[in-house]
Amino acid sequence: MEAVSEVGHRQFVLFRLGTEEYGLPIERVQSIIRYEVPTPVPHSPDFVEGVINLRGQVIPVLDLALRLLGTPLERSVYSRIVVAESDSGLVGLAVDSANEVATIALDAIMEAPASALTAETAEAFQGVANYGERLVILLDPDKALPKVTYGVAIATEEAQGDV
Amino acid sequence: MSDDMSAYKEVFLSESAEYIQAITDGLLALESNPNDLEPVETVFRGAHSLKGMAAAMGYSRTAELTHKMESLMDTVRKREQEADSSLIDLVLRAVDAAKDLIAEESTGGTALDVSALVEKLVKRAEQPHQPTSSGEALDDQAVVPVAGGAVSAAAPTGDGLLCRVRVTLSELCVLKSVRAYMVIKRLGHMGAVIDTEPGARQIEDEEFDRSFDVIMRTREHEESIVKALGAIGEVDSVVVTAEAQPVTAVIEERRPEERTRRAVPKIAETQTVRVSIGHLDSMVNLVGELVITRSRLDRIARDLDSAELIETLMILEQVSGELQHEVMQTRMVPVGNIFNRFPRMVRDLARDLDRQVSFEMAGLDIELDRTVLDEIGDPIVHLLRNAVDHGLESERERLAAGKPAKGTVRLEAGRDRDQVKISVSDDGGGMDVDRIWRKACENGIVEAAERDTYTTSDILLLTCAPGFSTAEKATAVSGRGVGMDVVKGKIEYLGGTVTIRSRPGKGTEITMTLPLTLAIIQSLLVGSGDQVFAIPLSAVSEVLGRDEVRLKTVDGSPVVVLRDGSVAPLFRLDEVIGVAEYRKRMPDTNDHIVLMESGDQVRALAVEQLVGRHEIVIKPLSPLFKDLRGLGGATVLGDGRVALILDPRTLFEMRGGNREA
Repeated sequence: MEAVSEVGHRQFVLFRLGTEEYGLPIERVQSIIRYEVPTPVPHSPDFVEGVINLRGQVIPVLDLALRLLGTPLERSVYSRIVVAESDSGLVGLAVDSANEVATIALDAIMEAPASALTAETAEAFQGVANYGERLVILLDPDKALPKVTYGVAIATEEAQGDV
Repeated sequence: MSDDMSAYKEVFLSESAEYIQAITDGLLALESNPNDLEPVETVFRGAHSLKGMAAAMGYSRTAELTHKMESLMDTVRKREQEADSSLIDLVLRAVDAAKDLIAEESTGGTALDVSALVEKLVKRAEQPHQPTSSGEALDDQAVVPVAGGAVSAAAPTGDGLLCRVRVTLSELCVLKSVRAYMVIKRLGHMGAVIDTEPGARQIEDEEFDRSFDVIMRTREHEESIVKALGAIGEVDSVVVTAEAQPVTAVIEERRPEERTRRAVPKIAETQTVRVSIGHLDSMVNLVGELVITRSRLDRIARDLDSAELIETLMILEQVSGELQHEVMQTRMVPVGNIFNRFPRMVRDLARDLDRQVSFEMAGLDIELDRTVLDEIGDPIVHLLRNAVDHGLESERERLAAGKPAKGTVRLEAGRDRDQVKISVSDDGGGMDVDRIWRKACENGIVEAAERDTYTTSDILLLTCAPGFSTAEKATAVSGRGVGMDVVKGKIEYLGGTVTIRSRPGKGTEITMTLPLTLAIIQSLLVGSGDQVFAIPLSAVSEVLGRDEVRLKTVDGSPVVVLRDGSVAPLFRLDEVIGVAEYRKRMPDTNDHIVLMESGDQVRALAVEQLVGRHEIVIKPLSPLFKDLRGLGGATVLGDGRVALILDPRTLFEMRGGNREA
C-alpha cells in the first residue's frame, strides 16, 4: 500500500454524497474545484455529466452519486468536483461537498458490512473507518472509477450499469 | 553487402533525402529572392555534405556530381555570379540527377551517365553569365516582392496566367467570411492563390464590404472560374481580369509543386538542436493556451469597444499566429524517420517466409505531425506483414500466373492538400471478394441477403470489422484480416480513414489517409439549444439558408436536392446528438443547412444557429469516450466553455443513440 506513514496512517480526502461520507486516498486526488455545469456529451452514459475545462484540459465529470447510489446529485452552492487520477486519465467526480483531509489509522479501517453493499458497487468500497464520531466509507479508486481497456470503453460500463 | 554496411546505407539514404530536400528548398527560396545569401549557404553546405557522405559510401559518381554543384554554388556565394533562373535550373537538374544516382548507386547500378551534366556545371562555374541589369550591384536589383499578407505562404510562382478575381457577395450574405473561405478554397483547386485584397486576416474578420479580390495564377478560362464560383451560394458577381506579370518572370517550370515552397530550410547537420519531446509538447500546449487567451481578449476588446486595444490585439494575433505556425512546424517529422526501419523488417520477414520480395519506398520526405507519426508505425508494420505474408503468393503460384518470382511490396507516402496518404501495396493475388463476403456472413458480421447494398470496397473493408478473423485460424483470406480492426481503429482514432483497393491477380493496395497535423484547425461553430459544437471547416462545402435549398423526402427521410440534381441525405443536429428524438423531421424554418463532405459522400446537417468561423485548438477527449462515435475531440471557447468537435466521418453514425458496435 502506498503512502503509508511510519505509524500506520493513511490520508483520505473526505466528501459527501447525500447523507454518507466518503474518502478517496489523497495521492489519487489532484484538486478540488467548485462545481460548474459540464458540457453534456451526446449519447454518453447517464452517470457521465459531461466535460469541463480544467485549466485548458478537457476532462469528464461523473455523477458519483448516480453511479454508486443510483440517485443523481442535487446541485447546491456546496457542490464540488473532486479531480481524481484514474486509469483513464483525470476524471472529475461531482460530489455534494468536499473540504477535508482526514488522517486515518490503518487499524481503524474495517471491512464494509455486507448489508451495506449492493452487488454492483460492492467492489468500489474498500472498507469503512471510524473518524472521530463519524463513519467514513473508503473508496477503492481503481474500482469506483470507470476503467478503459483498449476497445472496451464506456459502452460496456453502461451496459453493466443497466443490469 | 554486410549488415553493417546496409545499416549505414539506410542512414545515408534517409540523410541524403533530407539534404536533397533542403537543397531543393534552398534553390526555390533563392529563386524567389535572389539577393538572399542564406539559401545560397544552405545549398552550398547541402552539396558539400552530400559529397562527403557519398564519397564515404564509395558512390563516386554522386560524389563527383555534388562536388561540382558545390563548386558552382561557391561562385554564387562569393558573388562571382548571380543565381539567375538558368543557374537555378541547372542546379535543380543536378539535384534530380543526384537523387537518381544515389538510388542507382545504392543498389549497385552503373547505368546512369551524368558526365554531360557535370561538364555543364563546371563550365557554368568558370564562365558566369553577366548579371542582366548591367553593372548594377546585386543589392539594387529590382525584385518585385511577393505581395505581403498571410496568404503569401502559397505559391509566389506557379503555372498559368496571373489574374485578379473580384468576387461580390450578395447583400443578404450572413457569414461573409465563410463564403469567402469557400470561394478561396474553390479557387485553390483551380490554380495557385497568391494573395487576397483585403488580406486573409481581414477577410476572416469580415472586414470587407461585399467585394474582395483574389490574385491567383491559373490555367483555367475566365468562364470556368465564373461558373465554378457561381455555383457557390450568395455570390452575386465574379469578374476576372488579367494582372500584369511581375518582373521576376516565371521561368519554365519542371516541377511546379516543389517550386511553390518558400521556407529556407536548415541543414540538419549544422543548424539543428535536439529538443526533448516533452518540451515540444508543452510548447504546443502553451501556444494552444495562448490562442485561447487571445480569443478571450478579442471578446473583451469587442465588448469594451476600444480601438487601441483592438489594434494591439491584431498585432498580438498576427504574432501568435506566426508563433503557432512555427511551433507546429517544429513538430513535423519526415515519415522517412519511421520508414527507415521497414526495409530491414521486410527483408527479414521475406527470409523467414522464404519469399523473394522487392521492397520499394517512396515519399520519405513527406512530413507528418510527430504525434500522428508515432501512432502509425504499428499499423504500417501490420500492413507490411500482411502484404508479405498473405498478399504475395508463393513463388510457384506466381510463376504459374506468369508473374516474376520476386514479388513487389511498396510503401508510399504522398501529400494531398491538408492530408497525407500512406499506402501499402503488393502485386500479389489480390483479395477474393466472394470469399470475404461468405466469411463475413459466417461470422455474423453481415446478412447474406444484403449483398446488393454493399460495394466491392465496402466488402473489402469488412476484413477490418472486429471479429472478422482470429489469429488461431488464419487462412490465406482470413489472415488478411488479422488485426485489421486494430489498424482501422487506430487510424480512425487519429481522424483518418482506411481504404482498400484490390484487383484479382494483380494485387492489393491499402491506403491510410491522415490529417497533416492534429492540434489546431479552422472550424465552423454551430449551435443547438444553448450548446455550441465545432465542425472542421475542411469538411464544410457550403452553408445555405433553409429557403435556399430544395427539400424532398425519399423513403420517409429528408434529403436536399443539390445544384447538379443529386440528393444528399439531411440530418437535424438536435436529432443526431440525441437532444431531440430521432424522427427524421424536416428542418425548422430558421435552420441553416450545412453541406458536409466526407470521403465522396455529401450530407446535409440542419443546425439552429450559426455562430461563426473560429480557429480552435483540439483537445483530446478522455479515453472514457473512445467508443462514442461522432466526436473528434473538444475545444475550449473564448468564454472558457467547452465545445465538442463533431467528427464529419462518424457523425452520422451516432444518430438516434445507435451505437451498438
